[in-house]
Amino acid sequence: MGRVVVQFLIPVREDPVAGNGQLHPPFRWKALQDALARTFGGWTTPSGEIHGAWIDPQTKDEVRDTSRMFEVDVDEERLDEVRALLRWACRTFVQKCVRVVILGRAEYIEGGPNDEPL
Amino acid sequence: MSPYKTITGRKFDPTAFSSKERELFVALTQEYKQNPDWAKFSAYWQRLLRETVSKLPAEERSRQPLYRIAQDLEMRLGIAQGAVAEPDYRDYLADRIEEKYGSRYRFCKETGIPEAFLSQVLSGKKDFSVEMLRRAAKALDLGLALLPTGDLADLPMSDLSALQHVCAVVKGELASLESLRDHLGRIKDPGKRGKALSKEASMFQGALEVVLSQLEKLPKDRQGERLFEIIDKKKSELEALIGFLRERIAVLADEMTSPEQRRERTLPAI
Repeated sequence: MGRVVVQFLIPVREDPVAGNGQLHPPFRWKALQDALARTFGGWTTPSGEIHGAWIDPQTKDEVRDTSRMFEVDVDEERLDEVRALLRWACRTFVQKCVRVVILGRAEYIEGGPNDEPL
Repeated sequence: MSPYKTITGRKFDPTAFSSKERELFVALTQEYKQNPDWAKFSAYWQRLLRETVSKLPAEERSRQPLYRIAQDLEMRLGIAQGAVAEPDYRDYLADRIEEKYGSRYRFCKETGIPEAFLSQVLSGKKDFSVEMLRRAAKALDLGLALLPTGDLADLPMSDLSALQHVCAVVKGELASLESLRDHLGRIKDPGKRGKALSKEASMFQGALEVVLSQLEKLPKDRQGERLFEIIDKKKSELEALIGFLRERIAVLADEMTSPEQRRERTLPAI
């Protein structure tokens, strides 16, 4: 099996409903980078900040946010490890879900109550 | 080459680096000085360090001094660009654990703090009890302090002393201006007031210059912005004092002019 490119977005602020809408302190970013380096050998950020908007299905309000995009090359058989890491990231960065694109398909990964933070 | 100090106060000595590492260190700091977008800087240092770091086992990569320095520079840019919050106590804790124990596992083994619990604390999901925090702080040679709330409460310790110094100077100058105002108000005789005015006006000017020079010295990063925010709160007091002194100067100047001069000044020109 070959390696696939996985892209995911991490908003620069906590979710305003699940969290407090505040910026993340440095240790969260460092924990994510360390986990990516440790698990997949590195990462890259193909662009600067990404601006987006979406409708929160819970509140029906439009949410505008700014995110950072991370890109990781992963062996295809390790895609579940990416999903597990993003469940942790979802909890660590206090998001309702994390958007990830795997093989051109978008997935929205939610953190469960039993997912350990990074 | 002086030691590199992270935002949490951790020091790295570049003189202990190999020549290749020193080259990379210089390249990193030069790129940082160009103030690139923090996310783009992230991609830059990943590329720059790839060759050096990729030779190491995966779990050791993030513990390399150059990796930590690059990460710290990225966070500094993020903070300065308003995309990352100031470090909180967990940043200090995480850095200190790595510096003193090398790994969370060793720290937890030494202190008896469960590793899963520490992980939840460091991710902001849980908090230490006071007893546990005291135990962790002791093991890390850190002190616990209760600080006053208000403007300074949420600042990192490293910025606190610089900020307190500037605030003390501004506060001191405000007190001087208040005392000048009171002094001026107590002088009844217009003649004496006129003499006192020029002396006090020059003192007032001097006081203002001190405040301005302090403001000019402020760093032009996020810390500077924070200082300005706080000083802004003091600005209304300062402006009220300046307004009062200007009024007094105008009144005194009017009292000091002769009736003829005053008439000339108030009559329309022919």
